[in-house]
This record gives sequence, C-alpha cells and structure tokens, in this order.
Amino acid sequence: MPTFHLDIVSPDREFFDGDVEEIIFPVSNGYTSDGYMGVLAGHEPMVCPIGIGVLRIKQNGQWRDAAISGGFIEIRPQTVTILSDTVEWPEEIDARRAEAARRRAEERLRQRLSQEEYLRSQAALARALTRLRISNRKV
Amino acid sequence: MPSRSELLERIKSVRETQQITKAMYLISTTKVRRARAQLNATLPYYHKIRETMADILQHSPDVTSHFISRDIGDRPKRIGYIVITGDRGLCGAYNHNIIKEAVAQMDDKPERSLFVVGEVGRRYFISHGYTIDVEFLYTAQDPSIYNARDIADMMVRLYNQQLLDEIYVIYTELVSGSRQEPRTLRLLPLETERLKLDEDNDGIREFIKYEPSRHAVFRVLVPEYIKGLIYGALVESFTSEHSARMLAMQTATDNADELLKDLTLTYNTVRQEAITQEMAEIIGGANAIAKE
Repeated sequence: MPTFHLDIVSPDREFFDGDVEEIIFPVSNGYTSDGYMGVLAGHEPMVCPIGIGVLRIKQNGQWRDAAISGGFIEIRPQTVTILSDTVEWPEEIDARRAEAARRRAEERLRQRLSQEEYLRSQAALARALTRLRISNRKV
Repeated sequence: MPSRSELLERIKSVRETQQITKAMYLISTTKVRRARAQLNATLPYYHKIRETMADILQHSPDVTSHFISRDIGDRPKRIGYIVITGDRGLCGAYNHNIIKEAVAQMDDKPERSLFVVGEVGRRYFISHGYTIDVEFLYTAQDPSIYNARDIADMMVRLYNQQLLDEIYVIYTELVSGSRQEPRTLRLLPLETERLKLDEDNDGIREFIKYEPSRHAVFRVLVPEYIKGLIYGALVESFTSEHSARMLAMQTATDNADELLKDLTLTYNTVRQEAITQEMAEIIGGANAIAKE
C-alpha cells in the first residue's frame, strides 16, 4: 500500500513522526465535530481544522487510535502535518479524570446556560467521551 | 572602631545573604533555560499557524473577519490591556520598567480594562487606584500553554461580545542577555502587517484547498494564533524577569564579596590591635614587676 509521511506536532512535543498508509480524523465545526474524513496517499493539498474525536492512524497494516481535540491538518503531496495542542495515546489517558470531566460536563449541561456556556460544556463532554471511548478500548 | 563581636556578626550575616543571592542566581539560571527550551519546542507549531493565516490572507483578499476590523459606531473604544509583571521583586528595574510602560500606554484611555499577570503589578495597580480585573489571577511563575489558552479564550470571548474593541499585551522582551525592553503588542484586531508570507514559498500553496472554506479555517486559526502570541509574551517576560534577576543577584553576590573583604580586613585590624594592646599591657606589667 502506498504510504505518506505523517507529522503530528503539539506545543510540548513531537507526537508522531513516520510513514503511514491512512489516517482518519474528526472535522471541526467550530466546537465539536462534524464527522470524520479519511486521508490516503495522493490526497489533494488541503487545510482543514480538526474537531474533537478519535484520530485513527494506519501504519504497517495496524490501526492505532489517539484522542485529539482542536488544531488543524495540512495535507501536502508528500507529507501530512497535524498541529494540535491536545493529542494523546490511549495509555496516556487518565480514565478516572476523564470520567470526572464527563460527569462535570453533564451536570453543567443540565443547568440553564448561555449559548456560549452550552457550547463549551458540550465540547468538554465530547472531549471526555472521546477519551473514555479509546481508553476503554485499548487491548 | 566597631567591636570584634559586632564585626563577626556582620560578616556572618553578609555571608548568609550572599548564600541566598547565589542560590537565587542559580535558580534563575535553570528556570530561564527550561522556559527557553519550552518556547523553542512550541515555535514550529505557531510558525505553521502564522504561515497558514498569512497564506489565506494573501490568496483571498475577500476574506474579511471581525478579527481584522470591526465597525463600532460612535462609542469610545473599549481597550483591554494585559500587563505581564513579575511575582516578586529582587530583579533590578524589571517590574518598574514594565509598569512605567503600561501607565504611559493607558494614560489617556478612559474606557480601559486592565488584566494583570504577576503579584507585583497587581499590588502596584491596586494601590495606585487603578481598576483591575480581580478574577484574572495568573501568576508569572509558570508560563504554561494552558494558562495561555485560558487567557486567549477569555480575550477572544470579550472581543466577540464587544466588551473590548482592542486588546494589547504589554510585556518585556529580552533584547540580549543583559538588556530587557518593555513592548506593547496588539492582539486584536489582528495586525495584518505582521502576517506576511515568508519568501520560501514552494508554490504548492496556490493549489491548497481549504475545507470547509478559507473563511472557516481562518476563524478557527485566529484563537490559536492569539494563544501563541500570549504564550510567547508570557515566556518572553518570564525569561526577561529571570535574566534581570540573574544580573541583580550576580551584582549582589559580587557586592557581598567586596563587603566581606572589607569587613574581614577591618576585623583583622581590630583583632591585631587588640593583641598588640594586650601584649603591650603584659610587657608593661612584666617590666613593672621586674623593677620592683
């Protein structure tokens, strides 16, 4: 399978650097996510903001998942760069903390909120759910 | 002449102070190094964001945004200032300079809001009758990306709600190892002159597609960019503060050395005098006995 180079940079570290076959990432709608988009080798050059959700990376026939929220992707002919300030592997996720964050967000969503607060709480909830989803799934 | 015990006491206290200044010097050295490394690690990230924004602006002049300009009608401009000071003193003129710059900037602006980072600035502005945002409690000690994100979110929100029309950050730039200068940087509306493409353009940018649209991508990037600017200002101020402290502590340690040298000399003179006098007394006494 043809591969392309993937670089994932966050402000505090180089998260990923290697040749991959395919990636699937959540597309941003400004707050959470609008669904997923896949990238194979030879994709047209594109820039797209990333939402909150699971980033899937296929390398040597193996899929790996990571939780991502925010940032953007830049697709060039040979390389794909993802810039995001929060991207984590399942083993780096503190499931208990994510669970607490989920409860907090749900609690807040039950209250009467301004639109701004509502959207923020929803984003927080989406982040917590993504983390929980992939941290439970790890083998 | 001071007495011997007085001198010993002074020497001891100067030595203790010197130990403290030496320790503070070392602490500042490591802190500066760490903050620098952290900033360098984040640079590629923000470079990329800036580049993409510059590209969008360059290739689509029709992209307009309230982040670039906004009509506010006849009401006076509401201006927000983020002033980054230190959390404590003992760093030469660092805090003084930044506060002076902030006061000069704000002087004739009636509709201003003040957001202060750092204890020293907070205390100064409160005691001089300025109204500051008391909920805005960020310390200067730990310039983390998380703090920068909080601050950026808050500023973008205030800007979107039209509670602020212009936002400036006043920070200290480290010009060279021993020279720091206060700077004022406009966060919002964006200074589009700062968003110019670098020359190393590989041509591919002409064909890049923006999904869902240039406009939407631009809107997502602005808060990220602001966050980067704030983080940069926080780290720059932090390194400036610690460089200033390093210099101040170095001088203090040197002064203590000088002082110790003088005091030891005086102490030795006093001691020698006392010995001489004692010997003179003994000899005098011995002579008196011998004569009898």
